[in-house]
Amino acid sequence: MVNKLIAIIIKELKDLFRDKTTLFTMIVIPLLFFPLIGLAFKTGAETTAQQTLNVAVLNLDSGYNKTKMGDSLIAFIKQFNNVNITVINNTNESITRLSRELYENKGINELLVIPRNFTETIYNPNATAKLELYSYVSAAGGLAIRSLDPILQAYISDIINWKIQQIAPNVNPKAIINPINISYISIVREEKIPSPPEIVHGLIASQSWTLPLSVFIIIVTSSQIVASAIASEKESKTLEILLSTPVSRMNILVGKIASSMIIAILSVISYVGGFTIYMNTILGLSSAQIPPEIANKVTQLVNSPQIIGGVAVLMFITLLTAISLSVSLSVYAEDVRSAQALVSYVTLLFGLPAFITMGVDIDQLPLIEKTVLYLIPFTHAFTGITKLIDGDYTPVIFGMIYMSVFSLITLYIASKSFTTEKLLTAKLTFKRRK
Amino acid sequence: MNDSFVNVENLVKDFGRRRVLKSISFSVKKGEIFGLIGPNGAGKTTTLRIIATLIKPTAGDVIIENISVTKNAKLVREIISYLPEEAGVYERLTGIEFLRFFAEMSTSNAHDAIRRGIEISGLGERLKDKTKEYSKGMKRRLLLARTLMNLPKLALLDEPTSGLDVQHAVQIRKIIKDYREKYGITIILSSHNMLEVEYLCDRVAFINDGSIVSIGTPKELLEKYNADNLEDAFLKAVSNYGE
Repeated sequence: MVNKLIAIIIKELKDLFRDKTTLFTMIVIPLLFFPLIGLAFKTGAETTAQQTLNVAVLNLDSGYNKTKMGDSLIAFIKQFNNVNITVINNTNESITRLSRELYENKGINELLVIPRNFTETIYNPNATAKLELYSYVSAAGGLAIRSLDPILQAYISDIINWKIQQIAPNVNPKAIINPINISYISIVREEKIPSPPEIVHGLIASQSWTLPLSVFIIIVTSSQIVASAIASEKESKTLEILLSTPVSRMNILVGKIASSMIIAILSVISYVGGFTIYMNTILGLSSAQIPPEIANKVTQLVNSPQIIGGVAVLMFITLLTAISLSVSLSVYAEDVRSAQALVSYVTLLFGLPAFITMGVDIDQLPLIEKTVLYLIPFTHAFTGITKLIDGDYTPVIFGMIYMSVFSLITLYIASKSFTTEKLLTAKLTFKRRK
Repeated sequence: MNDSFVNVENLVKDFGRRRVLKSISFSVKKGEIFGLIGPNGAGKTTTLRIIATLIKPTAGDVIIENISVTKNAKLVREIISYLPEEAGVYERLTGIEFLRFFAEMSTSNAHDAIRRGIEISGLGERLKDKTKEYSKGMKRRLLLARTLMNLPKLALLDEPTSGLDVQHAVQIRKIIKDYREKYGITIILSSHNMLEVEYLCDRVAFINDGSIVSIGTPKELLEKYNADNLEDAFLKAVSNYGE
């Protein structure tokens, strides 16, 4: 009995592992997909940081009281690393023509124009000095282009401090600019994170949005695999041979479900592995705006053993539910094409909650919509992930129980269908009528 | 009791409103090759599927060595082996893996069964190749080897040479005949091919539109219908039956 079950599982696994499409879709792609995205982000960010800033400055500043602030601005820009500055003191061409020529001949896409009255207006306490920064936009240009803007902002900050000191030499300019300092502290579960909520939420979302998507992909793929496995046996009549041997129907059913689960679990491991590499790759990148200690703390919270364990159990039950449902349906399909069509209709049951939970908190929906969505067992899989992160375990456990009961009922129906001749005689087809 | 090994008793099968078997009865002796002959849709495959415990009859029963297929299907599966018409193989398994898998499903002595399977298939080193690389004839030989390697008491062969070229069909027929002679296996087969039936079968039943029209040895049927060949005999039997 057990030997036969093991033989069925081994045969199914051989069959699945030798199918290059299955192997590639479920194991290789997840392991490559996330790390490649992470690598692309990292390379892009590093390239931008190391990029030489090619900039031109049209300095028309005529100065004021023997001072030329235009020259000091150019000197300020030059002190930054990897800055290649072309200074133009006069031109007869229009700014648009000059910008185009600079871009086409020298690869310079930013032109800073310092007006004639620049120094004069800076020295005037009641006036605002103006600078014009022209950027030549080309369709072929990439997004990751280093800009002069952060350098100009740093220069403006220096000018503000200088101006305040000119007016009130005994005053701390920082106290004038920031008279009140708000400390932003976010609380996740019972942990304090010294960062504004939008940053913390963004960090959590960046780590949790991919999970529902991954769950969705794995559910759909494993459902297709198990449905195709049964339907292809029906189509090739190997199922008839198998059913006429002294092996129990339950063994055949459990063998197919178990092998599909093994592949699905390997796929989950592959996803988690790929995702971990992705997170490790991009975490360092956010440090410019988000301090690494904040990013690490949020990551630790999201990836705590309780949450990882909870997600693993949740995914196992979800997979079991999806596979049970697909097996039950595939019994009624005549061939692989019909089985895949049937499962694709069921995909709506996975897809609807998956995409809704990405943008909406289901608990905030009106009662009827909420009830309808929660009746779909897979909704609990997707809401469960965010609830686990929030530490709200009761609805997650309820969802797990609900999905388990649903799985048992569908498995019971599948086992009953497997013992009847419907398995061979049911002919639900989805072929186009000629 | 008679000395029959298989007794098909008043078998009726309905699919929805359509009656595909109309109370058919026949018996098969131990060690006999019994042929079911008839056109497409006559009820041959349905009869074999009922005997193979894959579908249940609407009425009637089949008794194999005193075991009822409707009441004790599990025991029946221990002594039968079924080859469906135009069955496929697991294309990503090698020939030897295919034989091993079904040997493990069907018998406690898988080793001996595999050894016999290798011998029957005659595929030699090609058994190490994946079955998707096999020709149609090679696949059929592998399937026949799978059917016979466990030495079943009753082998059910649905159109065993269907779709094969003459050379492969001859090989398959020879294997069936040799194995029956060597091990005394009882065989029920269905076929369109009257030459095949004449060559292989000890007795045949003409089946048409869900009813048995006539049963006898090929020689008896030829004499009964004053026909030159079984094809002619079948046509005469069918036309007489309707009158």
